[in-house]
Amino acid sequence: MDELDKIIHAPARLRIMSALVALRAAEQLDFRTLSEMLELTDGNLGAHLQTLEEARYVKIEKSFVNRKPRTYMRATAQGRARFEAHVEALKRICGI
Amino acid sequence: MNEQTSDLPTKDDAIAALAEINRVMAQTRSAIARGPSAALLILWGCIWFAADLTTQLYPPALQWLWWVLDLIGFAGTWWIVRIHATRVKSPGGWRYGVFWGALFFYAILWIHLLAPVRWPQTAEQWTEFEPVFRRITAYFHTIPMFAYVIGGLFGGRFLMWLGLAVTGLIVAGLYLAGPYFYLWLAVTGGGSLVLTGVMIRKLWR
Repeated sequence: MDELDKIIHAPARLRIMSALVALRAAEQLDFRTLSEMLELTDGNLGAHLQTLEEARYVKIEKSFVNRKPRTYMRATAQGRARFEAHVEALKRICGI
Repeated sequence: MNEQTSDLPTKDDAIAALAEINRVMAQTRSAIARGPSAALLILWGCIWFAADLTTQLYPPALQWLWWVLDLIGFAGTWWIVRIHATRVKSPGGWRYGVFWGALFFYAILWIHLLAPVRWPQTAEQWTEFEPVFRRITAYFHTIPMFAYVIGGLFGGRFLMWLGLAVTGLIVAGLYLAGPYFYLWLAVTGGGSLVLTGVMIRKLWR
């Protein structure tokens, strides 16, 4: 049976995972866009992303675009599966 | 290893969490769908407006007008798409550029092969040439709108309705606007694109 995931359950990380899972599998979002969209500070977003990356729910890649450093992220297959299980658990609590 | 929480949220908390998930996912999808489209619509709306207004006021500019404005448009498009590509990495995004390039190449090629344009040098020649150019202009204005309609069938009905509405306005102007046809195109065609771009920017957040 699906259970709530403690890592995803924190409100900020729930929002981060929601945004990343909404992307198609091959798409990646850059750090600045995500922080603007979720209205999180760079430090806050960075800390939560680190937690999600350590759990292997998120893959973070750094690269240079037009000679400027950019950080891109996407949800991993494991992250997507855990997120889906978390959503199912929430629905069960709601009786959906 | 997955960490599972033993502190079960209440039903209200779970409902709020699901609502937040839906909101953020919808916001993300809409931000990606919007992509560079608002900026591109405003850019090309301004180009249509400038080109058609100039045609209305100073027809001899036709010989060079669209070439210059299209070059500006393509450069601007490249710049806008390049900025957007740094925000969302999406493999296959280059296909949109190929699609638009191929579409206009096809349209321009067949016009030159089937109905090559000889630019008028005198006022008399312009009077004779104007009805032909009027139809060619209407044709070219409907091409991107046709692409919107087809794209809208698969990727969002909003684009389809925009394409149909502007095509309707172009055809209406062709038969009803008389000597103010190019002014009509500037306001309805260019104006519609700019207005749509501004609406997308304001509403699709």
